Parts: sequence; structure tokens; C-alpha cells
Amino acid sequence: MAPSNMPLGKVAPATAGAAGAIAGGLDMRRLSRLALRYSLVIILFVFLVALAISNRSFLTLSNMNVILIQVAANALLATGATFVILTGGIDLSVGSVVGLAGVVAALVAQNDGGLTCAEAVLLGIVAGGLIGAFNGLLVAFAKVPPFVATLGNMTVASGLAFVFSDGQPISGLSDQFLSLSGTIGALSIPVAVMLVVVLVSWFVLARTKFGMHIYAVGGNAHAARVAGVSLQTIRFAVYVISATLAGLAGVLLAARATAGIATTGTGYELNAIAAAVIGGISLMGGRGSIIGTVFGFLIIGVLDNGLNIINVSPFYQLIVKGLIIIGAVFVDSITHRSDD
Amino acid sequence: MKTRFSIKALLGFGGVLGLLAPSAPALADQAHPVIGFTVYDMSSFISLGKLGAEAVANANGAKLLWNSSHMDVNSQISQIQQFINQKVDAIVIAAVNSSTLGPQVAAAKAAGIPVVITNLTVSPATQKDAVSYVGPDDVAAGATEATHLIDAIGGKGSVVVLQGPLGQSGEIDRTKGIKQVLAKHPDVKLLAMQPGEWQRTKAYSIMQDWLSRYGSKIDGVISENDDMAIGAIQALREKGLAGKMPVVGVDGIKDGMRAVRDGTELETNLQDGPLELGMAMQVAVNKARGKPIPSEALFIMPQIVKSNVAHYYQQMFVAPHQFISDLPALVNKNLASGHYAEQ
Repeated sequence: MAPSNMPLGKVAPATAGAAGAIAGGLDMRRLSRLALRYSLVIILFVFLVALAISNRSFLTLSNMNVILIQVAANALLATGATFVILTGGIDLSVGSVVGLAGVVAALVAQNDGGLTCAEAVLLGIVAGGLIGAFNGLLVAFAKVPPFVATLGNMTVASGLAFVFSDGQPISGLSDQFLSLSGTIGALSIPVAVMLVVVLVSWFVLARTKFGMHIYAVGGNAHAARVAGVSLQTIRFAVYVISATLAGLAGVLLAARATAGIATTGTGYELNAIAAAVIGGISLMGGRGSIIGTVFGFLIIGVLDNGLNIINVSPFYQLIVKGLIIIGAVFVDSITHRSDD
Repeated sequence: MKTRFSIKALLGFGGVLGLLAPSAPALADQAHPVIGFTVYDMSSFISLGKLGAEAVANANGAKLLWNSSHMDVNSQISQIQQFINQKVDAIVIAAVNSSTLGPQVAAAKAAGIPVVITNLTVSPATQKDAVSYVGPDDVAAGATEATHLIDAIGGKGSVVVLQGPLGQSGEIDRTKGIKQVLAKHPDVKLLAMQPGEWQRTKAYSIMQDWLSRYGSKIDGVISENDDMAIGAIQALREKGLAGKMPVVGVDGIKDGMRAVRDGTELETNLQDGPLELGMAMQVAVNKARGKPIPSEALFIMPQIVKSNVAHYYQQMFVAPHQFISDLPALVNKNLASGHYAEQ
């Protein structure tokens, strides 16, 4: 693959430049971008050290495992958000999709139900995918602004979840389904799912033509269209991906909560977008790597867990998290300016 | 030209008539009172409670206008304003926030519309303008569950507390009750207290974090509601501690009673949504019809433990339709006896 040959505006060379630098190039501009890129690693490292010093139960293997389990759901949502935001869009419906998928999966995973665990999982994911398809149709074909389309579907999905569940938790789930929140050997299942999804997503975004087209659509849609990229297909696809991953997260959370609850996931879209933004995914589209998103949700997860362990008041926790997000967006905008 | 002018005049006249129409009373028929009911959100408790309110409305021939505010104060303010404009016969409010709605309740009173506060408290000044409070004694619930847990651990050890969303009266009052009991037991140490926001998954994460930090130092978990207790029990289950570390909760939801039956939850306190909201409805209807009503109907929540869980579970969750259809009679019986929470 030689992405630097593509005539796609000035964004592609920068992205390609980063890829080239990783491949061994020594351009100073590329190196300084990498340094800013590593700022996330430095931030995470600083937090880990500070929390480890504050309390010795923080930096234990079992607590690190706990953090991974806790970030798994947000990781899926943040990965979906990455796909969408890279095209210059946004998906506000994922939080509600989590609740809807959990309810759908729970309804069919009940002990006296006739469907298997695999079918329950599939149905939950498909429920998410359908909302995603609706989002995609509105954004890609009806040209509705993503903010509006996904905001509308946020309430539609939530309403559906309430209708299907009558506002009550759907419990009495089969042991097989509940075991989704357990482990295979020593590895937690949600963590395993997270690892697979993140790796596959990295591969798709960094190494496939589809991924390159996503960056192109976000970076310079006009040039992308001229170069033959189907804007509609790409835009439709990313919303389906985002909501499908949200459906998967919803299924896993229903197993964890031992019930499908319509209100699970309320507000989760904000954490997902925050993770992506902290990770350097530009809200303008076309810039950022999913590796950044990984650091984004890890930083949020480390903060959530660590601030609880050192017993910080819940109000201060909100302030700290808010300041981190602002800081990350600030760094991102500086990086962006250095491109000009 | 002349024709258009007279059509315009006719339309204008009709428009003025149309504007005048809503100022006629919504209803002068005491046989079919219109009750405006606004709730803070369609939580599972409220969703279940709505069935009770509807059953009582049907039994009384009343019309129920139901509105949910989705935890938005402004939304609730608008809903109450609309009820006043519609001139309903009574308004029932499950408040989003304890300290607001003063002006709205005062306006309703000035318009001659009685207001019943239910489920969550409002400030004393606001309550004075209302005619009744029908709701739980959350302070007692917090105190009951804390007492039971502390007795179970022998009066000494370390505990953690999972709170509801900070600032909601359910959380304020239950925390008050828990703290009162803790103050009486100096040998019991409060290790940590965090809001689980009434949610299972949040409580699960917080419990995991606490287990990381305190591990076996925790002797018991006091949760301000069943959903959070269940989340905590999930975290305990992963460490093999479910059923071994006592957990207590409030609400008596289906999964909570199941947990009590299975032994993973030591006790829960039943907050019967249908009974509570149904009773608020009956009080509103009675007042609209000029009948006497209690100024406060305080629900002392029944304590649900392993020995009595079967009875309540059967009543509420195995034969819920029967319970709902018998509800209007139960409401009237309790109103007469003054034992509001009996069932």
C-alpha cells in the first residue's frame, strides 16, 4: 500500500506521513507529530504513577484486570465512535442502543424462552444494527445532519426499549447468557471481545482500502468523491458499525446486570465520544488513529477506577474528568494548527 | 371583495371564540374527575406504580393524565403549568428535585387545584401549599437496613455504602437514616460511600473498585436500593463472595426479592409502587370530591427477609394481575385503617 500517492488533499499526506514515519522516515515535522501523539502515553503513565503512589492497591494485577473489565463496554462504543467521527459525523444514539439491545437480548434469553444464548446475542446485535442502518440512511441518503439524525434515533431507540420491556428490568436469564459476563480460563469475556474488536478495527482502518476511504471522506469529501469513493456507502457503513458495536456492548452489559434494563447506557455516548476525542480523533473528521482512542478509553477507565480507589468525592471526579477532556481537545487543536 | 371581508370577520370571530373555549372549566362533573399526574422519570418503580394509579383511576371513573419529565426540572414545571391551564381537578407530583416547584404548587393552590405530593419529598414550604404527602419513610428504610446489617456482622467491622443520585430526596433521606444508625455504633467503620445512581452496572464497577482497595476488610454492603445491591452482588460473585458478604437494599423489586430468597441479599425493604401511586391517586380523587384525606400517608416499608419473602413475592410478582385488580380495595382499606403500607 502506498497511501502517499493518493491525491486527496493535504490531510492524506499528514496521515501518510505518520505512517511513513512509523515505517522508518526521519522527517522532523513527522517526528514532532509523533511526540505529540505520544502525549497520550505520557498522560496515561503519569496518571498510573500518581494513583499508584496514592494507594498501593491500585497498581495490582487484579486491579488492572478490573479496569479492563470496566472499560470493555466503553471501548466498544468508543471504537464505533471513532469510525463515525473519522467521517466527520457523530453518533449520539449509541447510549440508547445499549439499552435497547440489552432488552432485546434479555427478552429472548430468559430461562423459559425457546432461543439459545447465541441467538439472543445475535438478535441484540441486529437490533443495534437496524438503528444504525436507520441512522445511515438518514445521514448518507437523506442528507440529514448526523447530530440531528442520531439525536432523533437516540430517543426512538430509548422509546423502543421502554415499549419492549414495559419499563421493567427483564431478568430470569439463562445461565448460559449470564456466563457472558464471566471468564474463559483467566480471561474475562468482555475483555476478550474488546481486544478482538479493537484489533480488527485497527486493521480495517489502518490497512484496508475501506479504512482509507473512511479517512478520505472525513478529510476531504469533495476530493474523495472525485477520486471515486462512494460517499453514501462509507457514511452508511460507519453508522451501522457504530450501532452494531453498541448492540454488542448492550448484550454484554445485560449479562453483567443480570437483566435487560431500558435505561442502561443512558449518557454512554458522551463517554464514547470523549474517549475518541481524548485519543486525538478530530471532530472535523479525517484525522486520528484508533490507537489514540484506545488510550482515550484507558485514561477514562484508569481515572474512574483510581478516583474511586483513593476515595475522591464524586463531584471532584466530574471536574477532573471534564478538565482532562478539555485538555485533550486543546492539545488536538494545537496539533491541527501545526499542520498549516 | 365584500365576501372576503365578511369571511375574514367570521374567521376572526371564530378564532376569538376558540381562544375563549379553554377557559371554561375542564370538568364540572365530580363523578369523573380529571387528575394530572407528573412523574420524574419512567423508572422501573414508577412504571410499575403507573399500573396502580391506572387501576385506581378506573375504579373511580377518573381520567388520568400521565406525564413523565425525564429527570428534567423545567419539563416538570411546564407540565404542571399545563395542568393548571387545563383546570384539572387535582394534580399529583412525584418531584424531580426536592427544592423546586414552589411557585408552581402555589399557583395551583391559587387556582383552586389541590396538589398531592408523592414518592419524593418537596421542601416544607412547598409542602404547605400541597394538601397531602403520600410516600415512603425513606429515613426509616435506611435505618432499618443499616441496623439489620450491623446486627448481622455483630455490631463491629467495616462497611461500605452505595448511594442514590446525590440530591434526590430518596438518597438524602436514606443516607440520613443510615448515618443515624452508624452514629450509634462506634465500632462500625464506614470505609467508603459513593453514588451508584440507582444503577446496577455503576454499582458493579464501584464495588469492584472497593474490592480492589479494601478486599476482605469489607464486612458488609449497605445499598440504598435493590438495583445497586444486585450490581454489587455481581461483583462479589466474581470473587466468590456472593452470599458470604452481607448486602442489604431497599425497594423490594423482583430481582431483589429473588436475591433475598437465594441468600445473596440479606434483606430488602418493600416500596410498593402500585400501592403508593395508587393511594396518591385515591387521595387526589377524594380531595377533588370534597372527601376527607390524610395530610400525610407515610409508608413504613415492610422488611423483606428470607422468612417472609415468599408471601410478598407471590403477591407482587407471581400473581401481579390479581394484586392490581384487588388494589383499589386495598388502598381504601389502608386509608381507613391508617396502616398505609399493609398488604
